Order: sequence, then structure tokens, then C-alpha cells
Amino acid sequence: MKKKQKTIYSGWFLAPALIVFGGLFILPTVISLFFSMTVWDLKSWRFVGLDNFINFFSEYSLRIGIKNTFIYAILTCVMKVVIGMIFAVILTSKIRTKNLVRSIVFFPNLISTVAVGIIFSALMHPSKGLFNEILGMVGLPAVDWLGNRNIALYSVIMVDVWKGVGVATVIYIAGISAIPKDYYEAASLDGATGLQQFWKITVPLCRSSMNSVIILAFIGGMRTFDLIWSMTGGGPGFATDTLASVIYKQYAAGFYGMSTAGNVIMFVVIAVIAFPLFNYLTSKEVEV
Amino acid sequence: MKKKQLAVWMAAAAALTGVCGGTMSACAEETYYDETVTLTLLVDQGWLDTYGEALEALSDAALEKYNIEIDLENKTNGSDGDNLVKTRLAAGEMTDLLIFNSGAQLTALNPAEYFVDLTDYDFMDNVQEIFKESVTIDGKVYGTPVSSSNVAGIVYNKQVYEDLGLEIPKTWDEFLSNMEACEAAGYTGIMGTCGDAWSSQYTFLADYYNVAAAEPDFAAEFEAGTAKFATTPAALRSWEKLSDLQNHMNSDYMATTVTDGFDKMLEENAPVHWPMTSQFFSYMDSLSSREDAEMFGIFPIPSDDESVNGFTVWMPNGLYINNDSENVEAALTFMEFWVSEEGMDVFKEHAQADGPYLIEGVELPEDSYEGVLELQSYFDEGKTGLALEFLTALKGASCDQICVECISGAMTAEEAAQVYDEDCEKMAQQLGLEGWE
Repeated sequence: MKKKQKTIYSGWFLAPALIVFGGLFILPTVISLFFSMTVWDLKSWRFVGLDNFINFFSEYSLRIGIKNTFIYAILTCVMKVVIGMIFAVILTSKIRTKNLVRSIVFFPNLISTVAVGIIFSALMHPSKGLFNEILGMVGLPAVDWLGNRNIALYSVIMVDVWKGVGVATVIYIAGISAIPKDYYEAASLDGATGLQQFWKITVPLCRSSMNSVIILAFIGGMRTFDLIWSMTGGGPGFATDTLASVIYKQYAAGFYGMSTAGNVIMFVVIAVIAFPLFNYLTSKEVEV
Repeated sequence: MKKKQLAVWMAAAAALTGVCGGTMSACAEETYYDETVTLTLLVDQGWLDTYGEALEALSDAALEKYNIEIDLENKTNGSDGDNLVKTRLAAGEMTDLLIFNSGAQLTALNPAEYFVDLTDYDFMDNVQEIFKESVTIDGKVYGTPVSSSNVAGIVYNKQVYEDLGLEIPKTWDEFLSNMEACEAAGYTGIMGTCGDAWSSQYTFLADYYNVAAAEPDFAAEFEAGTAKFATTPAALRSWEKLSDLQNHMNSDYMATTVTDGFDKMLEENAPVHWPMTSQFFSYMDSLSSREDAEMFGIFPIPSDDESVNGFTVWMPNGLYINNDSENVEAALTFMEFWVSEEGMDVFKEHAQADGPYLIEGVELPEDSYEGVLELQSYFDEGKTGLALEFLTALKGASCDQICVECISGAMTAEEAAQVYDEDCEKMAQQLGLEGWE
């Protein structure tokens, strides 16, 4: 039998953290579970059981919203993982303006998302926007970036990647810098090419950074709201609605109970996908 | 003993407010505050763009007369703005005074909880019954009108109509052929401003006069859940009209905002029509010039029957007093001043009417826009009806988006009507209306 180890510190040391966690996370979660089953006007409530959940799933815009949310999360995630990696490899190599370029890549991330949204919707204006003026100058037809329901979502995704790729790059740079130089030296002595070094050393050894990027980008994409709202407001019509924008609109309509139900659903969906994903990814990590 | 004391105090307090309430006019005339009372007022920017000057003039006059100062806070328009109001009310951070929609959107704020009941004040006698109905919930009146009434219909370019020899259409088919004639002459048929989704609703909402002409009980049956847009032919017609506009709009209608729209109406080969309210004229005046505003007129959404030809009327926003305000008395004084003859004179001097005023004895000024003066005959002949949102509290929350889907052809009229019915069902359940469980 294993002897119980005597601990030096009392369990009470956990108390402050538990109180903060319980008060700011557990309690609101439980309360929101309750209110998701009521018709609620912030002052009084009426219990309706699971009606809100049923109504939420019958919401017309939700059919489009769920599809869009997954397209958005997966595409932004993949693009950030790939483009971030490319930037990071370039920026850890021996180029001269490394520091300047690093700042420039990170820069979009410092601007508020809503400001980015407003700026890009001006740039993407079909008749007055800079993008179409440039297209026009080289003789290409104008594109209705945000007005065409088939491409509006992808326009927003582009902007999201533009804004978010800096963070991915920084995480990758940290991961790549932590790889000991000896591996590369040994490999090049054995005659490995740059590309081989990248695939055999860099990629496997910065796996943990890649996992952080994947998880952060995916969850961020699932919850996306501010950029969508400032660029299209879920429009045209319902074409760019996501889970979060549907929830917000219900909140704006005064359906507080139903929008809380939507948040519970979103929490469950993200958790159900993110935890197995995280476990799967970390199981693939190797020690440096 | 304690209880008794409390009761006495409460009776005294009630008597006090009663005195100032019952004979409020006598009370107000004497009022001049020794120290300046500052009242905060929350209003949306769109309203301020047109009436800001008039509000400022009223505020200056109140400062001189009562030593009451108005401190403006502005908010954004549309559902984001509504959301802000709801949140501030729930958080107890509302300003002393609020300018906000009347009708269904007011009901959604739960006024009994947040606003001062104005039913018994004498100055409410100045306000016309038709407006009071749009701010009455469960028999209590909560607001006073802050501008004139307005109608919605189709704004058209008179010059183009004259040049092309077109007549104001009496039926929807005539209207469609007018648009085609304009397009043949190189103009754009009609303006679409879906960049502001709310503006896409006017064709649908303003058609309600025609719906009511065919189905006089539609509003009541709709609220009771027995009549639906998808299954009532006359009501479905409103969605069909919206969907008819599809191929007649400017090519960038999805991104065009209402503000862009005013510029566009003056461009070369501009759209000839624009589904809008009669507020068009004062907006055009403030954004461009009076001369440009006079170039346009407005006609009702045509019906299918030549003999049915009338305007759907909107009540203006109301002024409401926050229940929790520390300055309710001063706020009442300001409100009474606004709806008095003196206050309205100040207002009229600095703002233009969009339709008849809703204060007793205040006539439509003769120097109003021509397009607005022409409305008077419709009112005189009784060819007007209230918009649906003033007849029932039931209005779908996604109406604007569904209209965009319909106008752009992403949904057929039938689909849009059905989705809107579902949308209304959700609202009815939230409002706890009978017959929708």
C-alpha cells in the first residue's frame, strides 16, 4: 500500500483561487443554466423548461449560422496555422530587417477589432472602396466583397486571418527559437536540405506551439462575433450569421432567456469539440 | 404607531405630488428653479441630425424660462441602439429623459416598470388621441410626441416624371411599368439601401394600408395568432411587392446606406424612386438643400385596386421620463413646455414638419415642403391608416433581415412570409400573448 505523502502546505492555500474561480466562473455558469430555461426580462422570470432550447434550434438563421461558424472556425484556423508557420520560419532565419518585420506582422493585432471591421468595410465598398479601385485599375471586374452572399463570409475570414496571424506567428517564433541549434547542425552535416530540416526538425519539434495556435484559433473562430458584427451585421440577410451573432440578436431583441440558452449551447458545442481535440493534439507532442 | 406615521407621510407625499399633478399647469407657470437643474436626455443620432437644432432651441428657452438645462447624450440608431436603451434601463442607468419609438418597440421596453405614468396630467390634453394610443400600455399613457407624424410610401423624382410624361401610379402594375419606363430612359428604377437593413422594410410596412383595406381585422387576428402573413393573400401581397423590386435597384444596393442614398438620389441617372418616409424631405434639406428636397414628391404604395389609395402613417418618437430620475418634477415641467403652444412655436421655428402635428391646435405650417403639404389632403379625406406596429405589439425581431433576404431574391415572397410568421411566433411567446403557447 502506498503511504499517504504528508504535504507541507495546507489545502486552504487553494481557497483564494477557488473563491475567485467559483464566484466568477462556476456561479455564473450555474445561474445561466437556470435562466436558459426561463423567459426573462432581467427583472422577473417565468419558467418554461426546455422551450428556449427547442425555439433556439428552430431559429431560421441558426441553420445558416451553425454552418458558417464551422466554416469560419476551420478556415481561419487552418490559414493561421499555415501562414503563421511560414512567417515564423522566415522571421527566425537570418534576414536583416527581422525585428521590423516582426513588429509589422504583429501590428494588426494591436488595433481594436471593431475598428478593423469598419476600416475593411470601407475598403471593401463595392463602388467607393480601395480594393475595387485597384481591381479596376488593372482592368479586373469589381467584386461586391460584403454584399454578395456567396463571398461575404470569406471576405470576413480574410480579414480575421490578416488580423490574427500575428499572434500565431509570435507563438511559432517562440517555439522555433526553443529548438536547440545542434539538431540543425547535425542534420546539415548529414547533408539534409533546408526543406528536409523544416519537415523533419522544425515541424515536429514546434508541435506544442502549433497545438496552441490550433486550439486558440479554433475556439476564437467558433466564438467569433465582433468582426462579423462590425463588417456585415450578419448580413446580407442572414448570409454571414454565426452562432454568436444569432445569440446577440436574440439578446438585442430582448429574448434574454433564449439568448442565454444559446450561450449554453455554444459553450457545450465548443467544449465537446475542443477537449477531445486538445487531448488528441497533445498526445502527438514529442519532447524536445 | 410607526406604521401609522409612515402612512401619514405617504399620504402627505401623495397629496404633494397630487397637487403638482392635478393642476400641473398652474404649478409650472410659477416654477423657476433657483439653481440650474440639469436634465440628461438620451436620443439617437439620426433624430438629432434632423431635429437637433429645434431641441437646442427648446433647451435654451427652458433654461431662460425655468432654469432647466438639457444635457444631451446620443446613441446609435437601429437595433444596437435599442439594445443600449434596454441595457441601461435594466441596469438602472437611464437618463432623466429618453426619446424613443412609440408603438410596438415601446411596449418591448416594459414601460410600466421604467417610465412615469402621464395619464392624469393636464398637459396631456394637448396631445392628440391618436398619438396617445401609440404610447398607451394597459391603459396608462407614457409619452408625448417629439415631432410631427410622418407617412411612408415611395419617394419619386418629380422632374423625371415630368420629363418622361409619367403619372403617379394608382396600381402596383402601373408602378412596375413606370419603373421600366425610367430604366428605358437610362435611370435606375428604384433605390435600395440595404447597407442599413432597417430601411429595406418600408415597402413591406407601408403596404399595410392596403392590407387593412382588404382585411380590416388583420391586426387583431394577427395578434391573436389566427391570421398569418403566409396564409392571408392580402398580407402576402406585401412580401410579393418587396420581392418585385429585385431587378430594379442600383447595383450596389447591398452596401448602400441611407446616408449614401441621399447623395445617390441627386446623381446623374439616379434612381427615380425610393421607398421611404416623408422624413425624406427634411433629411434631404439638412444633407443637401431645400431646393433639392423640393425636387421630390411622395406617393402611397400602390394597391392592386385603383380605388384603394392611401398612406400608412407612423407616429413620431415619444419623450419619456425615467421613473428613477431625481428630477422627475423638472422633467415634467420641460415636457409640459414642449407640448405647449409656446414650446411648439419654438420647435416649429427650427424644424420642418414631415406630416401633420399631433398637438391640438398646432397646424401644419404653410412653409412646409411641398411634398408634405400634399399629404394634408390624404389626412383630410381620411385616406390614412396606422402602421401595423402601432396596432399590435407584435413585430418580429428579424423583420429587417428577412426583408433584405426577400428584396435580394434569396427568399421568395412565400418563404419570407413564412419565416416572418415564425419570427413573430417567437416574439409572441416572449411577450406572453394569449393563444401562442
